Amino acid sequence: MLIELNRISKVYNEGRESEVRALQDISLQIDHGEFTAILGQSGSGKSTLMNILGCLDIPTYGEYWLEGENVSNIPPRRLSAIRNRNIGFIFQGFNLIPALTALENVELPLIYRGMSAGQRRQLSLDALEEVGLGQRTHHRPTQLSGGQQQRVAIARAIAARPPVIMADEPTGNLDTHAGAEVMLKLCGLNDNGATILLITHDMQLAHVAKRIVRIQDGHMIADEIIPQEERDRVLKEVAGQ
Amino acid sequence: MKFIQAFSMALKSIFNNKMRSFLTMLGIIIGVGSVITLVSVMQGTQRKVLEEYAKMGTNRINVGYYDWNVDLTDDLYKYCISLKDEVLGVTPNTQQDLRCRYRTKNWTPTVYFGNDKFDVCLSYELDKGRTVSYSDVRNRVKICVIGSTIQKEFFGLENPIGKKIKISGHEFTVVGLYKEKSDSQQWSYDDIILVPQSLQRTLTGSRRVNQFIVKAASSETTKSAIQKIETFLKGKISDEWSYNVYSANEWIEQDTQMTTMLTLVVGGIAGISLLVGGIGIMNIMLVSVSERTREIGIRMAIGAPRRAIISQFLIEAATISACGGALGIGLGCLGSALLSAAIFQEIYLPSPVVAAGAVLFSVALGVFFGFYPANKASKMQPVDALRNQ
Repeated sequence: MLIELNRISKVYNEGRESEVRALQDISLQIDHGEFTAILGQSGSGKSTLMNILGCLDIPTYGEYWLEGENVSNIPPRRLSAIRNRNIGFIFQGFNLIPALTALENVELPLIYRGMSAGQRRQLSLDALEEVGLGQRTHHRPTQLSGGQQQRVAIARAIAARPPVIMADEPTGNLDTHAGAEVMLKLCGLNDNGATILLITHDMQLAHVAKRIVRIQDGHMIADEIIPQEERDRVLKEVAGQ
Repeated sequence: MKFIQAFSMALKSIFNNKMRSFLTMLGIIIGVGSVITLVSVMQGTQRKVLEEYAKMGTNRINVGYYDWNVDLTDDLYKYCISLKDEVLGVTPNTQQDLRCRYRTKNWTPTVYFGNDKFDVCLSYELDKGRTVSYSDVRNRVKICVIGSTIQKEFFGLENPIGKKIKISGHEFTVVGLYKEKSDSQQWSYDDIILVPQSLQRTLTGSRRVNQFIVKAASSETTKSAIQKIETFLKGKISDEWSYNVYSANEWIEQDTQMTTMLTLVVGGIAGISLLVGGIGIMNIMLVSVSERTREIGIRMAIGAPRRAIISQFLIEAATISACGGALGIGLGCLGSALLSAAIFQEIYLPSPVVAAGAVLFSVALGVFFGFYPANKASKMQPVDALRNQ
C-alpha cells in the first residue's frame, strides 16, 4: 500500500476555548497507480488533509504510513527529505520561484536531493519536454502564461518521478482551456502509472479521477469509485471546452 | 546541496535586487574604507616619526656633564673609547654659533668641533670631498666640512671644495660637503660646519669638552653602554643631576607604542561604522526573509532541508559583505592616498595585511549578522510560509 491513514485527527489549540477539530478519525488507503480526488468545500478540512498527506504537517492523532514508513511522528524539520523523495506538488498558485528560469525551477527539488548537475539537467529537460515546454526552458515565470507556468510546476513535480503527485486545485487560477489541458495532462500521467491525488472543491473536476473521497466538517463522508463511463463522459466534456 | 549552487543562488538574488544590495553594501564599503584609510594614515605617521628619528641617528648615546669643578674632557673620552664591545665611535659634541665669511657674504652657522668619528656618530653622509681625519685633528689642520645650507648660502652652484672661508676671522679650507639631511627648515641639521676638535681652543678659547656623542653597535649594546658610562660618571661626579646619559632609542620605543595604541583606538572608532554596516546587513536580510516567505515555503515544500535555507541566506549575507569589503578596499586605497598626500605630501597605500584583514572581518560580519535572519527563515513551517501571499 502506498498511503495508509489510520484514524487520523488534527486538532488545533487543543484544550483551549478556541479548539478546532479540523479532521476527525480519517482512515484511508490509496494504492500505487490510483487517481483519487479529495472533494470538499472550503473549510471542510480538505486542505488540512492535503497538508498531512503531503507531509507538510503532522496529525495530532492517528498514524500515517507512506511507502511503508510511519511518517506521523517525524518532527517537521525532518519531513523535508521525505517530501523531496516521495511527493511532487502542484499548487493552485503555481508556486514557481520568480527569480529562476523554468529549467532552474524544475531542477530545484533535484538539487535538494543532491543529484549531480548533468543528471538533474537531463531529467529536468525531459520533464519539460513531456509537458510540452521544451522550447521555453530559459523563460522566467513572468514570461510565461498561467497555463505554461502550471505546466512548469507539473514538470517540477514529475521530474524526479516521486511515488505521489499531489495537485491542490491545479486549475483554480487558470481559464477553462488551460485548466482542461492541465487535467488531461494529469490523466495522461496517471495512464503512465503515476499515482495522483487531486484536491478540489469542484464536483465536475473531481469526476475526472477514478475515485472520490468526500470530506465535510472534518469527517470523511463518502469514498466512491467513479465508473469508467462517467469518467469518459466528464473527460470528453472537459476536453471539449 | 552543494556550496556552489547555494552561492549561485545567492548571487542571483543579489543581482535581482541591485539597488538594495548596493545600498546594503554601502555600509560595509564605508566601514571598511574608513578603517583602512585611518589605519594606513596612522601607520604613515608612525613611519614618518621613525624616519625623523633615523635622521637623528639610532643607537646614538648623548653623554654630557655639567659640573664645572671637574674636567673629564680626556678621561670620559678615553673611557668611552675603551668600551670596544659596545661602541663604534666617539666624538666630542661641542658646538657654538660662529660668524663665518666667504668673500662678501656673512653667515652664522653652528660650528661643531669633532673628530674623524663625527660622521658616524651623528649620521652624516658626504656628498663631496672628504671628512675630518685623525691627522687633521692631531696636526690642527685648518680644514672644515660644510652642511648643505652653507653650500647654498656661500657657494650656490660653485664647487665648494678647496674654497677658503673665514670662521671667527681664521681662514679654513673647505674639504668636504655633507648631503642634505632634512628639508631645509629654518633650523636644520644642514646649517653646520665641522672643524677638527683640536681647533676648539683657537676658535672659542676653551678646550673643555662637556658633551660627547657615542655611537653604539646595536640597541642592546646601546643599553649596556649607557649603564657603563653612567657608572663611570657616578664615580667621578657626586651630584647625579650634573650629568646625563641617554639615547633616542627609548623615545622611539615610547613613540612607537603610542602611535600603535593610537592606531588601534582610531581604527576601533572607524570599526564602529563597520558594526553599523553589519546591522544594516541584518536589517536587509530580515526584510529579504519576510519578503521571500513564500519562496522559502516553496523551497521547503519541494524538499529543501533547514540547513539549505540557512546556508542560502548566510551565503547571501556573506557575499554582500564580501563585495562591500572588496569595494571598501578600493575606497580605502583612494582615501589613504588622498589623505596622506594632503598630510605628508607622500602617497601611502594600505598594507596588504590590513586590506586582507578588513575583507575577512567583513565576511565574518556578514555571517554573524546574517545568522539571525537565516535561522529565522529556516524555522518557518512550510504550511505557514506557503499561506503567505
